[in-house]
Amino acid sequence: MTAHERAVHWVSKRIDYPDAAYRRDVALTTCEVCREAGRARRCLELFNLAALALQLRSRARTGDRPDAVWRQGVEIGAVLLLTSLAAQSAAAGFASAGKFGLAATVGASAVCALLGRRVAALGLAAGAAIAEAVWVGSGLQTGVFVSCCAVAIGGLLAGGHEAAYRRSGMALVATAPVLSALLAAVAMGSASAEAASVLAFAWIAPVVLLIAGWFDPRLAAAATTIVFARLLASGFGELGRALAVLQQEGQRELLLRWLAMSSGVVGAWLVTHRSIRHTARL
Amino acid sequence: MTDPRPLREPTFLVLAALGAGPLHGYGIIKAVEEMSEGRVRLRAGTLYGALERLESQGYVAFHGEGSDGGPARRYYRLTADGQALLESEASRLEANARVAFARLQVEPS
Repeated sequence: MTAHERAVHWVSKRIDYPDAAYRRDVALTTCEVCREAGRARRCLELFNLAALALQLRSRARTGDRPDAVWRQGVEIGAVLLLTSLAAQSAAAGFASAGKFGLAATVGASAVCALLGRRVAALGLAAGAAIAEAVWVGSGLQTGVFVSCCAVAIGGLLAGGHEAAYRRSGMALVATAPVLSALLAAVAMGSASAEAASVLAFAWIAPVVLLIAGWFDPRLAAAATTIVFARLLASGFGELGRALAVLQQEGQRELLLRWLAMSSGVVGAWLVTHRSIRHTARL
Repeated sequence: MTDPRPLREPTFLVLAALGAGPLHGYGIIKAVEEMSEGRVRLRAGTLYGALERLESQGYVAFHGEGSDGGPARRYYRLTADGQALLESEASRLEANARVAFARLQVEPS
C-alpha cells in the first residue's frame, strides 16, 4: 500500500457515516481513480475526500439545520477562544504567577466545555475574566482578555446541548497549545511566545477555519466568533483612535486595520451562509 | 421539501449514469466521463457527497453489494422519485436549449 493509499484509508475511516461498508467503498473508489492519476490529481482527490468527511460530519451533527450549525459553530469558536487565551496567558505566565493561574483557569474552562460540563466551563471562564480585571491584568491586555472571555461565555451559552466535538480525546488536544506556549516561553522568552500564540490563534486559526468552513459551515461560524471577539476586544477602541488620528494627522493605518477586521467578520459570516446553503443543495 | 433550484451538473450526471441501471462508485465515475466525452471527471469525494444527498432524499437507493473478482462494491440504483427528478431536469434543460437555439436561429448539432 502506497503512502497516498494509506492517507486515503485514514481519511475515509473518519467519515461520519453509520455504515462501515460505505467508508470502505469510498476508499476503494478513490484508490481506483488515483491508480493511473498523476501526483496533482491524487492530491486533489485526497483534499476532496477530506472535504467530504467535513461535509458529512457537519450533516450528521446538525442535520443541515442553520440554527444548529450556528449554535455548534459559536460553541467551537468559544472553546478555541478560551484555548487561545490560555495559551497567551501560559506564554506570559512564565514571568508571572498570576498569569499562570489564569492560563490554568481558562484552560480548564476549555477542557470542561469539550467534556460537555457547561456550567463548570462558564464558571471558570467568568472567574478568569473577573480575576484578570480585578487582580492580575493591567491596561489594554485586560480589555482584550475580558472581551474575549465575554464572547466565549456568550458562545458557550448559545451553544446547543447537541454534541459538537465533545470527546475526551479532543479535551486532551486542547491542552496541547497551552503546553506548547509554555515550552515556547521557556525557549524564546515570554514576549516572543505570546506574539506567536496571538499570530496562531488570531490570524492563522481563523484562516484555516474559513477554508475548512467552506465544507463544514460550523467551522466558518467558529471563525466568525473568533474574528468578532478580536474586533470587539480591540477594534472598537481602534476605530475611535483611528478617526481621531485621521482628523489630526491624516494617517489611515488604524482605520484600515479596523476596516479589515470588520470585513473579516462579514466575510466569515458570508462563508458560513454560503456553506450552509451549499452543503444541503443537490 | 424539494429544492426548487436546478440540479448541479455532477448531480444531474450521476442520476443520468444510474438511468441505465445500478452501478458502483467507480462505475458511475467512468459512465459520467464517457457520457460527457471526457469533459467531466468526477472526484470520488464529489460523487459520494452527491450520492449521500440523493440517498438521504430518496432519489437513489442502495442496491446491494456485488463483486466482479475484486473486493465487494456497493451498488446504487435510481428510485422512482429519482427517475422523475431526472426526467423533469432533462425536460427543463431541453426547453432552455430549444429556446436558445430558436433565438440563435440555428439547428441543434
